[in-house]
Amino acid sequence: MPDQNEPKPVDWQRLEELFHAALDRTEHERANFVESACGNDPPMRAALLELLAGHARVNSRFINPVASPTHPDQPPEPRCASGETDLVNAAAAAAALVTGTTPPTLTERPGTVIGRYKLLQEVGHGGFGTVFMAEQREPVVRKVALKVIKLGMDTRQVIARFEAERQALAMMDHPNIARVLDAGATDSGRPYFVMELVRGDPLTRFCDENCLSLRQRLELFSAVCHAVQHAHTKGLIHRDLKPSNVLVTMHDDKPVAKVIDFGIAKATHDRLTDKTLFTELRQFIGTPAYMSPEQAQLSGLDIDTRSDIYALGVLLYELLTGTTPFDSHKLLSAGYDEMRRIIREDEPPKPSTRISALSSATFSRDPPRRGALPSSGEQRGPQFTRRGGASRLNLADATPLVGSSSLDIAHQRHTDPGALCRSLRGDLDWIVMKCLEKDRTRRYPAASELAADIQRYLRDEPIVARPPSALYQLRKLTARHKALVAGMMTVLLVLIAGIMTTSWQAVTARRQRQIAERQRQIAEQQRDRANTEAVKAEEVARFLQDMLASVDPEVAGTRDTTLMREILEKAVKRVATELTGQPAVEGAVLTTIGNTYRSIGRYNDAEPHLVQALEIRGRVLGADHPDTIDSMLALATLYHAQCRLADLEALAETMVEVSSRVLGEQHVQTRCAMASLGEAYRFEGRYREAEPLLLGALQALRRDPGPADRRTLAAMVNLALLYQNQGRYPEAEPLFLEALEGMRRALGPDDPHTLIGMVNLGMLYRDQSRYAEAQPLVAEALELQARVLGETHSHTLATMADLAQLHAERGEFEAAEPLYRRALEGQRRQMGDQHPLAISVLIGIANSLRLSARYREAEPLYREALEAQRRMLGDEHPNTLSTTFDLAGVLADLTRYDEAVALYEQTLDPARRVLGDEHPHVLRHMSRLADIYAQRGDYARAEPLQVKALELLRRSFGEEHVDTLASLNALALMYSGQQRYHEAESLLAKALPLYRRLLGDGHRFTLNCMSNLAMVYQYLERLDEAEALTTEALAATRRALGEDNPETYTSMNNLAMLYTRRGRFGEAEPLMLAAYEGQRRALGDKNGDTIQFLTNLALLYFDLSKYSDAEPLLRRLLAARRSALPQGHPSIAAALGQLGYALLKTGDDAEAEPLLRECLAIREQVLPPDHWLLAQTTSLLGGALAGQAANVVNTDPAAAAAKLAEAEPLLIEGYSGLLRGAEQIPARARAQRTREAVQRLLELYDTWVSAAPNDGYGGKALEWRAKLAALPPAESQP
Amino acid sequence: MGNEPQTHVTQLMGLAASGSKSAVDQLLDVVYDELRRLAQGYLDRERPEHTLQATALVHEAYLKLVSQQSVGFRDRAAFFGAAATVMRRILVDHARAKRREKRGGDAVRIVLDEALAVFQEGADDLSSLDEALTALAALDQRKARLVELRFFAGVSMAETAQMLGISLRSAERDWTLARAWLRSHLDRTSPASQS
Repeated sequence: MPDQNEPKPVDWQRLEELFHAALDRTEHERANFVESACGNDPPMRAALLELLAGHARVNSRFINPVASPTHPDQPPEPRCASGETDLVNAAAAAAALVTGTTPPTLTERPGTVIGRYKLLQEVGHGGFGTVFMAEQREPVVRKVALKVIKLGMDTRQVIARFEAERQALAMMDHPNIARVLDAGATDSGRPYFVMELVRGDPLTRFCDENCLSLRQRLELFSAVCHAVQHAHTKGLIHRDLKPSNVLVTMHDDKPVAKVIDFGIAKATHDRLTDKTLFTELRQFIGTPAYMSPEQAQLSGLDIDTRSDIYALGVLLYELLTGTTPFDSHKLLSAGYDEMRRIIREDEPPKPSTRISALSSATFSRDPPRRGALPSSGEQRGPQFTRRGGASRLNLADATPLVGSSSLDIAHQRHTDPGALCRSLRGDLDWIVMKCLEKDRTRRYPAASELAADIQRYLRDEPIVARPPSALYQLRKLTARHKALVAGMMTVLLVLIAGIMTTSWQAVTARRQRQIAERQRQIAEQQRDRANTEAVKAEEVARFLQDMLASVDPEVAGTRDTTLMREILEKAVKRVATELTGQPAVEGAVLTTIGNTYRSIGRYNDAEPHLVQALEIRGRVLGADHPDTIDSMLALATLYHAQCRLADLEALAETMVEVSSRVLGEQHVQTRCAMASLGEAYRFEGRYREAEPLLLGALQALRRDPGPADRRTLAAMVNLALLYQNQGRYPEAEPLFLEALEGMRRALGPDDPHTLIGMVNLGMLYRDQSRYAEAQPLVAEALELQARVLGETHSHTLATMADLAQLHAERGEFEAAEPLYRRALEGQRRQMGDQHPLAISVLIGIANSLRLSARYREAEPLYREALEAQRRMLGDEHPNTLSTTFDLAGVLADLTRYDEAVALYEQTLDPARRVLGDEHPHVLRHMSRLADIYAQRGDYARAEPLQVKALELLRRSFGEEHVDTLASLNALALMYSGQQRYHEAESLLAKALPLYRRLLGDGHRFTLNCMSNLAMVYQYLERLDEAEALTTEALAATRRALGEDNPETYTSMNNLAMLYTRRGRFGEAEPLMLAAYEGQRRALGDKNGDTIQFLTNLALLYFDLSKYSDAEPLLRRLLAARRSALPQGHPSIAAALGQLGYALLKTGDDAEAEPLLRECLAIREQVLPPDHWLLAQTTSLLGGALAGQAANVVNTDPAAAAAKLAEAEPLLIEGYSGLLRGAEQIPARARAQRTREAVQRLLELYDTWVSAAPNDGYGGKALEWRAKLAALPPAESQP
Repeated sequence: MGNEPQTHVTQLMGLAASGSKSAVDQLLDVVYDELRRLAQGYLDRERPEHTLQATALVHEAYLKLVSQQSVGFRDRAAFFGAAATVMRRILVDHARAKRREKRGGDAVRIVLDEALAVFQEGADDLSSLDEALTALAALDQRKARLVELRFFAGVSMAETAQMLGISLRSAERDWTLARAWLRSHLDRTSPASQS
């Protein structure tokens, strides 16, 4: 890009040489050097000086020393090529580090004074920088630790980030945390931190050197957990926990651990990404071994307290085994990408496995002189061979660490390898592995809970961490591929299957006794001793049962689940201690406990008990035993509640298979299992497979155990849901009603299942647009759920979202928003934001935003939800398809039609395939697509599609349904677009009262219909009716959506256009201006509506003769058209013509000329030759030429004459063309256009008279003056 | 999807590394699509205040597209070479688009690495940097390429040197000069932003 400032070209190579030569000199010498090197070559000298100045600016941009150097006699720090204070050079320095070049050194040394601190001695250094012991002088004299960060970082940012956390840091007060006192920048611009001085050894070194036993280590570690917990409660995350940040000192002969560096990691590596990550790994962390998978992630770096839990897990691992889960050398040498992959994907070996691997590896790696193979099987040890079962060889397994043998490790722990391995295996393994879970939701939720589990272990109590079940492991495997969980639709639908299985309340009581009875019988048949045990077992079972029943929310109606939880926890402990050796009873009791946890919504607590129960029963009673199947059913119910579809399906399939083999096809339990499988299929969107299973199960269950049984009711609800999903609403309704009635009778009106039944029915009404019936039902259910189950129960949250949806769809956004927010927060807290329920709430919020015309905000939410659904459910799941449609819709709302059409078209086919041709969703979106076709003027495609959609919708829903009405409205708009106004009017006149009745006068859809009808009235010249409706629509839109809303602006535009149409330009102007400015703010300059309003406003200025106001707008319009449309597009011509016209009016004839020529060229291409616009443009072009002639007629008569000669034929042709095509000209503008064409001719001849007074143009002028006088006057303007 | 695109890309990289012009073009296309998709994904997803990390994207694309086994240095170089070019194009396009609709209000801040931040601070936008780089390329192709690799693909100095077939020392000297030249060029062409 050439520019005037560009210096003269100089010899580039020579410049380069001189530049580097100059940099090799000190700043003092530099000036002399430049002078002597290019004293006689001024351009070179200038170029060199500029380059050197640029170099200085590169290096100075970053840091300005705040004070003068400590040693004034020393020259300022040289800013050489390795200027370490520069951000850019952080990268260079990192590269230097990689290649082994020396990193820059520190200028701070003992004796240096930094702020209030005097450095005393260096006490440590690492990749991050150097730690000094320093003396603080004021306000108190004390010794502190001062850490200077070595490598270049943006000091201001570091300190700003530190300041942001300072308050939280100040609130930290814990004996096991070293306080961070201060932060600042040294004179050389490096950040530093001041901390409480801790003299001690890193945790691992301390433990090893002092040979702490396992117990001592665990106790010390516990204290660290509590310290971390303390910080977490203050909102501080450490982010860089590792042995060197946990120092241990002796206090009264007791080791005390102190966590240092809180707040520093946050300040110094806030953005751990890509290169900085890798760089910082080496520089600041030194090892990635403690990095959690989410920290190793490239993006989406929402590090939270659970990253610290992971690091604590690594720390514990190292304390126990002497090695980290992944070898840090190996990680670093694996390369950046591989390192990240390992951290995120590979499962490290359990601590006990690691120890046994170390022992075997140590043996087999013995010096070669003893022979390559281990000499005896004994050396390999049983653990080693067992380990062969592990399916994947991972890095850590493959690389036992050099220098540490299991013998050393064991000795350091006061034990031997075998014993160490034994103590680790089991509980400690699980505790560590729970910390190291890749999925952080599976880690301990808090450091205190980790500490509590360690304490439990130390007290020989059962721990919370559990070995992963086989199912869980299977799930982890499948998760990498697809569909881990699924199921979205109406949130509540999920939960109904809760009543599928015998809930623990009534039926379990009976079964408990049966089980105890059976257990007793078995025992009697065995030994005498068993008799007493069986009695005891029965007592225990009864006791637990009674205990639980007393606090059952479904029985006692209590909202306080705290008590329930306490009792459950006690029960859990008693099971562990009192039921050993009573597996049958233990299985039953665990099932009860699991079911109870599930019924109070504590799914994560329910799972381990149900899994354990299933495992025990499977082992003791056999896989085919009815009780085992019962346990499966209980677990299936839990999976259903958790939306864990793959697990549910696998389990249900097993259940069906086993149950029909053992109990027979007709057995009630087999039927229940089939219904479960059907429900799993329904959830997965496999409706066709689901139907026969659910239908068959329901028919059989109606016969036995009868229609009033809860299992029958559950199957009924599931089938109804299937019909609802399939859009078969009339078939769903009687089933929902029957089930609800049955549940009210069998379970009571406040039973959680009954309440879900109410919501289900309500949401079916919603699908049918029966809002008046839906809303009170759902609202009542919500109130009851909040009372019976509590505000945070997942049922309550789900209903909250449903009610919010109902509000939003009726335009009651103020009511909807808080409900949505509460539901989303609750869901996320309970299940994490990737849970299907949370996603469905997200979609609900997006819908709500879209309904209130906040499209831009809605789009990203849809995309987020869609991405999650695609990941979890696959592309063709009904829910994924539905969200895809929603996204397409919002793109259309944003007038991004190309994207919208592409998305619709590619989604309709799979939707038809998956849902069927006449599914309500398919029909609705068929209609939407047709609407977009129509909006783009593709009527040939739009009409048949819309007509068909309307017909099918009418058949499915009748007239009075939102989708039918939407289709009706869209069809009317299409007719209107084709100038078939009478057809449009009759459709809209029919739709409007229906909208008013269905959704109310203020609803957006009603308003749209109102505006559309008003527009059609206007086209039909029924202006009074049009004005009344338009005014009403604007007032109602303002009320419903507020002033600052695209819809409001559109209404304003409509009314302004109507005023214009009626010649009331003064009233139109402020309204039109506000509409344009508002829409521009709301939707941006490129939005189709904005451009339309812009055009409207400019043309209104024409009407008001405010041409200079119109001009800038038209320039904007032209620019917008040019950037959005292909060359030669008619709309570009229109903009050119309008701008040209405005310029003629403001006297800019010269500028108008080329625009009008371009306009004419396009119009000649695209318009028929006799079109009046061609004549108009020709006349305008003539006017532009004549106008220019008039401007120069006095100074350059010859030039003027030439222009005039060119103008004359154009003006005459234009005028006669306008006369010929007069019929085509809009009536309103006809007289004015013609008049102006004559005026231009008159002006031409008047000018000509001045240019060539003797050529007889005076006569022509007179002639045209007479013609003008004879013309009818133009419409008078207000 | 499976391994198919990965294998494809790995092959392309091999061909490109051994000098096939059409392979280079194809590689550019594949990388462009992937990076565009990734970048768009970020921009769609993220809130306005979020940032777009150029080299993070390149690395992510690399992970997505390239099968990890048996990628030699030359192949890797071909990939990052292509990625640097493409990333520059994407970011500059994006910055221009954003500049056009300044009043739209939802400006997504594009922050590259800290390396680039130095320039951004003074240069106001990426298109100036782009122009400056083009000007530099006219004077000295190698230095412009070096800057491109470092900025837009986050290739380390050592690897950049290898890719360009020069010593690390030369690369560092080039780097110093290039930055000084760009800095002075940017300050000259946009005097208002001079510090």
